[in-house]
Amino acid sequence: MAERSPTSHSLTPYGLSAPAFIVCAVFLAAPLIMVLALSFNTFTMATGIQPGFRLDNYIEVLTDDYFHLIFARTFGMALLIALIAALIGTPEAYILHRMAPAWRSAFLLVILGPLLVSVLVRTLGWAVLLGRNGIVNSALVALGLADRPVEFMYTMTGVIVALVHVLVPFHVLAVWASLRRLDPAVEAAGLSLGASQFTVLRRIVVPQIMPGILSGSLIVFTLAASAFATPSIIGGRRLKVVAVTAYDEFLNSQNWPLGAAIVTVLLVATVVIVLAYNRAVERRYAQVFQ
Amino acid sequence: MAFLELSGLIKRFGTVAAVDGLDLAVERGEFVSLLGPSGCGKTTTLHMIAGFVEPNAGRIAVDGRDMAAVPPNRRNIGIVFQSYALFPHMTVAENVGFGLEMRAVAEAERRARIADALDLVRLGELSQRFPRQLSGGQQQRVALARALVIRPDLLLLDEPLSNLDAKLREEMRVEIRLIQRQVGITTILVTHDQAEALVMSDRIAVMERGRIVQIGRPVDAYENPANAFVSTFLGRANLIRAEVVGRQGRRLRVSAGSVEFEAEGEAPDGPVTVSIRPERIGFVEIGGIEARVKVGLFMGEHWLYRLDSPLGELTLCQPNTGALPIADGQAVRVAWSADNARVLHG
Amino acid sequence: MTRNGPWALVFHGLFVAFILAPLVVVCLVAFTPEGYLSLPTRGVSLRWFRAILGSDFIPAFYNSMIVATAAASIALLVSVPAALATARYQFAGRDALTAFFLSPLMVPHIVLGVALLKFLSEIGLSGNYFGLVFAHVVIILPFTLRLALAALVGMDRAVEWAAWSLGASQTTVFRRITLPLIVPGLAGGWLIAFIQSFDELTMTVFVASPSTMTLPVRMFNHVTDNIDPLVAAVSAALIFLTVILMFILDRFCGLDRLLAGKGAR
Ligand SMILES: Nc1ncnc2c1ncn2[C@@H]1O[C@H](COP(=O)(O)OP(=O)(O)OP(=O)(O)O)[C@@H](O)[C@H]1O
Ligand SMILES: [Mg+2]
Repeated sequence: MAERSPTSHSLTPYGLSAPAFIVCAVFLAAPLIMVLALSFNTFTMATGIQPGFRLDNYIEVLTDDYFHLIFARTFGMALLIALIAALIGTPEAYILHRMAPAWRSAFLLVILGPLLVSVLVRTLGWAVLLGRNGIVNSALVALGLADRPVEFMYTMTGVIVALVHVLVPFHVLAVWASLRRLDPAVEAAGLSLGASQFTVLRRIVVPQIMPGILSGSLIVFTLAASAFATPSIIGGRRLKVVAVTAYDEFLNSQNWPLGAAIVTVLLVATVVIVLAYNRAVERRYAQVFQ
Repeated sequence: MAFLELSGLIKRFGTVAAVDGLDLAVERGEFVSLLGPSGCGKTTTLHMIAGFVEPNAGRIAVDGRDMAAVPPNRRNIGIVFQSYALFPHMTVAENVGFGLEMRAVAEAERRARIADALDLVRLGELSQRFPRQLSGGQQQRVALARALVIRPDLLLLDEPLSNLDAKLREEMRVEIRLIQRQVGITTILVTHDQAEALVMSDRIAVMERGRIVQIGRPVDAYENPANAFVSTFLGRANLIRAEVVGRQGRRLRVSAGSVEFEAEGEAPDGPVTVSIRPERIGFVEIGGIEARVKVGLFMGEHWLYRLDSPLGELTLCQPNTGALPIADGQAVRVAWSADNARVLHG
Repeated sequence: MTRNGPWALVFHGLFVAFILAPLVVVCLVAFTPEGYLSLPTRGVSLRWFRAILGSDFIPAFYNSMIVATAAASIALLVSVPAALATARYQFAGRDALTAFFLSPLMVPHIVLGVALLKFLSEIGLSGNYFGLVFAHVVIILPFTLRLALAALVGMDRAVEWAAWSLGASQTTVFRRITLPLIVPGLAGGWLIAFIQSFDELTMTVFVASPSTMTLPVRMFNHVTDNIDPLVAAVSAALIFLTVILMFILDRFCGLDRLLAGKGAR
């Protein structure tokens, strides 16, 4: 294969990219543009969807306390989940890094494998575990840690536990990827220069894997902010998050324009957060990324 | 007209010119080495000849025919890559037969030619192996057989020996040279190993920063280096900054520090560089210049002495005759004949 | 090799337990002989696995197989040429095109879901396989593209050049040399895309119709009504299938590298 020269002006590469381009243009770009247009339409029970260009939906989403609560809950929850995932995922990745290769590949499979299992199945597991008569409650009562079953279903705690479980492998993966690039000789060098294990960790390892920790947290955060299945099953209708609200507007209330405005705000907020975060991280860690 | 002619070849990557106005003419059946330091544009030149890389400017002609519009698969050029580039999913025989298959050579003839080619590189019994089951030297010979079997008009070898150990490398040098003579094929060898270039080539083209700075028979290039770069790149050389103080034809009188001596070459009055090969300097009882041995290094078949002298540090090479070496720190006298002191251009 | 201390191992044990607990529990509960969710304390029964066979989870499973197979195959078919263009050519807009092809990773699936719901109903494609399959193609395209790219970039360019100068045309080079050498990478890409598509719920909820309903959507609808041993049995079966696929995948190319693209921004 191979072009004759890196600056060839042939049309071949465009031809080769055309099928993928068409798929993405038709099934990604066009729908996103349509949903944007839809969000400026209006809706009433009586008249249904009315075409037009009005900001009503955005005004409602951005000023109504109900939506404030839902957005605050969603992003607050996502933040907490990202934090917890970082706190438990980073040490776990480091422990994996220090394991003998055979154990390491086995446990990598155990920890990353669940990413291939449907989110629904994993959420279901938590529903079983956390239910009123679930195993966690039985254990708590049996151990005398609680005198009555604790309600986890339809609580923030339940949603957070389940989502941490669903998303923490992404964090481990991100940190693991940056640990793999770490030269083992550097750690050994630190130790040989008289640094304690802890000092090596703090002064040599952590700074080098910081990009991995930060990008892992970002991934977990954005996925948590747009999560649908887990909050909707464990959180139910009482603890609505943005994705569940959009689902209800579309499939229950039939208020598509409002739903479209909600997801547009979600998309814009996510993109803005991602870009701002990347910007801040790149500025701070410019040397490490080079 | 030469068989292969490169004229004014230029190839830029971004703003840097990897090949910068290269001219070269190779006669039919000739073996020419492109010798130069890493990054001087050797591989790029080869890839332009093979047609993988399009030059920004210049002309490539084979047998008088302009190659610009000819794609690589129609050039009938055999190439051995630095990485061998064997097809990992094909056996040795399939690798060697690939070019014949593309030329729609009939099955029976194909088999015979594959066998011949493998015999030529002495790999007949390994034809059913896969590349990963072969040693580096064997892989390299498969690559050679694959390139030769199509009876190419031109054979291009890109540092084919660089991955081999020293002993195998020396054997393969001779082997490739013999095969090339036997088949009589026009060959260009890329290398940054001067010994390889000296042993194998009819002519050596020394490259520096995308151009050829000198081309000639190995002996000529070695004896009459065009400039300081060539003299240090082809073998070792003592380079002495000196001043021309007198002349008689090509015999110049130069002075360096407190010493005056005679040297061969052409230069205007003023500062010049004089090159003296280490093996052309000898110890003498009387005459010559005074020096002191800093250190003597044992190299097997010869001794290499580093000397302090009024001309600065000098390197001197003596065949190892079994005699006792000169001790470090000893005062000595050294001399050379005026023919062996070369005044360089530039 | 430095070893982990005892506290590290305790932490590791708890972490692994946390990761495995819900999966193990689902599998255990599926074997209950009771009509409600409980750990099988009084004997083990396959009752709920038998119940799957007659349920409407089966047609949903077939739908998922059809959609995932078609979507993974189409995604692979369009991403191989795109990867070739990116890996083998320099051209204006190359980086922008690659970013465009990877951009589905950036868009939350809930957003894609509502967008496609609107789009497909607008162009009259809602409720059939065609729209659903291409919706899935979009979300898995980044995975197949990345793996195809990785396979091409990891390949020695000189091998293609060697075949080219031995007389093979560019199409022959692709068919005889490039393709056989990137097939393992492509197979891994297909499989991971298949799994992604098979598991996708958030977007599919909006796009699937009753006749094209996939297994995750069917399960979701079931779970929002009640969580019973039947759906646990379906989950256990899915876990079992996924574990098998996981071992195949791990053999192919190492799970950590395959998943590296997942969720990456
Ligand atoms: N595809 C490319 N893109 C950009 N720069 C390139 C490319 N190929 C080569 N170069 C640059 O062109 C110059 C010449 O490269 P080339 O490979 O021809 O050198 P070489 O003489 O073969 O060196 P070596 O002995 O190390 O193989 C180098 O500076 C290299 O960095
Ligand atoms: Mg080279």
